[in-house]
Amino acid sequence: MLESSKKNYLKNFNFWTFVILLILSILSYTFKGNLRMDVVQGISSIILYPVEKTITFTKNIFYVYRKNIELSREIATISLEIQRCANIKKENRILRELYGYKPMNDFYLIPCEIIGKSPGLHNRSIIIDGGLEDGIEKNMPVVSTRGLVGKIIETTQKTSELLTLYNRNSFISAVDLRSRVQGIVNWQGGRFLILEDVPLHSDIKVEDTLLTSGMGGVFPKGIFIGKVIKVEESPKEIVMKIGIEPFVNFSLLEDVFVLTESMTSPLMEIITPDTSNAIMVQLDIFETIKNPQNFGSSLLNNLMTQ
Amino acid sequence: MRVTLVFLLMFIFVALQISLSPLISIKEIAPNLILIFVFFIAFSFGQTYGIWTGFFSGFLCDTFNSTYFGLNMALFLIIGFIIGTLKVKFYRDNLFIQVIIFAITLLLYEIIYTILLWQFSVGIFFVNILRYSIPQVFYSTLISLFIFSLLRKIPLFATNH
Repeated sequence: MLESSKKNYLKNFNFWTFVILLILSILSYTFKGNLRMDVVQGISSIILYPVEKTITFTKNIFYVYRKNIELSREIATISLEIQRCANIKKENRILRELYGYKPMNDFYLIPCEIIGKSPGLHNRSIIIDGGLEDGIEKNMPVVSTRGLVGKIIETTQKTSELLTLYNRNSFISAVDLRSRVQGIVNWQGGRFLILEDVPLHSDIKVEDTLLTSGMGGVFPKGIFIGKVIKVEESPKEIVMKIGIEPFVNFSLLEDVFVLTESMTSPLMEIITPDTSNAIMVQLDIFETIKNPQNFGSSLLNNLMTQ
Repeated sequence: MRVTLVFLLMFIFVALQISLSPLISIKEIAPNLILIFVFFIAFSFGQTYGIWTGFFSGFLCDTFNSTYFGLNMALFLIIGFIIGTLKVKFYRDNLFIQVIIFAITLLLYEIIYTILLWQFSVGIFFVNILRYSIPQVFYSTLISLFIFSLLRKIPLFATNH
């Protein structure tokens, strides 16, 4: 009798606990915009940061040798490319001055390592090992040597969460490098991104390259996003259906750079985690990113000259 | 003692899922380690453990994806509660049954998650289910076989403990 009533009590207690926690979860989901996510993430990152860092460190040890060989090969190729680009860069600078164009904003690059990816297949976000301590703030654009990765959506003291292109909430204003046709890059499931809001019969072809247009104020103009892989026109629709393959391979991504706008220096700086050891790098993002490879090459070139 | 171990393992599983999933993923499909753990705990120790492990695992999971904060918290909680209730109805020593129920649970989780995320866009829903969810169910189920066997070896998690 006593055993049975105890069992019933526990059953009832569990049920009401479940109901209360479920309501709490639903409320969190509904009012997530009003929650102090930085505080919530701060707590969990304090607990999980050491574990994640250890796992990432161990994982990286196995990659160092392979990565070293890959990078040595890449540096050799890039060195040749740099010599060719140096002249073009000079010419570009002179021409800009001749045309009286306003000098473009310069940026700092904060190198960060990826320490985690949010679980689940859909709407992935990435956790990086740079936070408020390194000068990273919300809405800062994030790039890799191949092109645009996303933007920062949450920051804690040591870590930040970034919203990648493969997220339903990611909308990026883009422009076609060849025809200057504009649209919005979004992800709607599947392997490829979609370029939306492009009117029918616009001049967009397969293999065209898409860059950020600079509209919206988050992403600076001229960062490479991806290339067009599919163009569909239907007379029933008023817009074209365009498939985009991003330049960045998100499954192989290990390191990223957070872009922060420079206020005073005309140079682009790479800030190491210890900001006092900032490496000065002469890099104009808009002039050097003529293609995704150039971005990496300019970066490496400047690093090598240090 | 068991509670401490469950909490410790929960943190390890969440950290492993976040840090290791890119490493063990095949064509961008990674096993859902957190769900494997929540399922194991709920199936082995019942409702009370299921509810709290589900809730806290979901919470930790959601802190790394703030755009959908609360979604995993609710889904893992529901799974913890339901599987915890089912515990008494199945013979928990049968690994085969455990794995079958896990595969069904994961498939249902994937379907509900996709419906909530894509808000009933039929085309995208089916593409995601076929392209991601079903392969993930197979992959996770395979991994769960190994994890379940491993977790059963822990003396505190043994049946007769």
